[in-house]
Amino acid sequence: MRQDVWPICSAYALVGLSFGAIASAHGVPGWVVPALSFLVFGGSAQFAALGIVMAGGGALAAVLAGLVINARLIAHSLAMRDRIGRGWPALWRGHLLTDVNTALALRFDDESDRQAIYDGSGWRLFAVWVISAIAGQWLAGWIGDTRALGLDAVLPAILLALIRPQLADPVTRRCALAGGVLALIVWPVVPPGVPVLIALSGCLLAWPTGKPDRAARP
Amino acid sequence: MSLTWILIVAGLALGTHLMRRAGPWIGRGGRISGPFSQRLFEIAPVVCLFSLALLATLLPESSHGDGPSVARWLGVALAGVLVWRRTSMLSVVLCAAVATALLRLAGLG
Repeated sequence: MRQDVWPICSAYALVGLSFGAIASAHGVPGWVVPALSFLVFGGSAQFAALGIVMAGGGALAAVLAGLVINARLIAHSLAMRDRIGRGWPALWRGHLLTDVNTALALRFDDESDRQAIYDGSGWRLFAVWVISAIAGQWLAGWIGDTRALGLDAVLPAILLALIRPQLADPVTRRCALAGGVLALIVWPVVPPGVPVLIALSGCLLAWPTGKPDRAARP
Repeated sequence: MSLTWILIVAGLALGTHLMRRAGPWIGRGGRISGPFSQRLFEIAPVVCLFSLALLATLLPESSHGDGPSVARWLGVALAGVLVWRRTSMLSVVLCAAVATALLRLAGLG
């Protein structure tokens, strides 16, 4: 397990550091970084909320975009329902659910192995995520002018890296391109934060046509 | 600013936690039916994040009040090429930041 989890932990640490540093550089209140990282524990959704607020958007747009991004967790939660369970332990076991520990747990056949890898990788990733985000925040205060260091290019770069595996699928790529172009067209005329939500209509390009879908599922 | 963030943290925390806990409540036999809705779960986040990446790159930053940054455009374009070639996350992040910083040092803004 160790050899699988630690490389993923270091990637989490890098994204967490960047999140804390970028949020702090944009004058986000100090309590927000630890609170979001602890309570939401979802890198893409946190970055999306941050990006929308940075673009001048409001709370509703930020929450909607974040929840659209996290909706995939419902599917993971179904697959992991025996790992999460019910009652009080489900409070923290559910909270540890990520793409990563779902994928790792599915690799094993034995129930107790699955539970061990789910819990073990889950709390490691959680700890790394929260600590690195706080460290990033502290680091940004230390280095001062983050713009001179090109930190504003890191947010889009990380977003692209996060979606790279899914972009291998041509249908997903087409939807993303259409949505992105649409967002750029509408942003001068709609309130801040709304372009990302309008971009979601790009998903309609995935509407099943008569032709068989050749896209490989990941 | 502070109230906005209180609402965001509360909304995202509650919504995300409920989604994470949904599996055991939907129960056995529950699954997301229909090929299109299954695909939506995969595609919607990608569309959202990609458009956000484009906007964060091309739009002027409201908090700085200055114009669009050519240095950032080029830095992110380089990152895009590296991501496409499946370079490691660390190299992507470092190259994007260093390229943007150097271009700014050269006066591109």
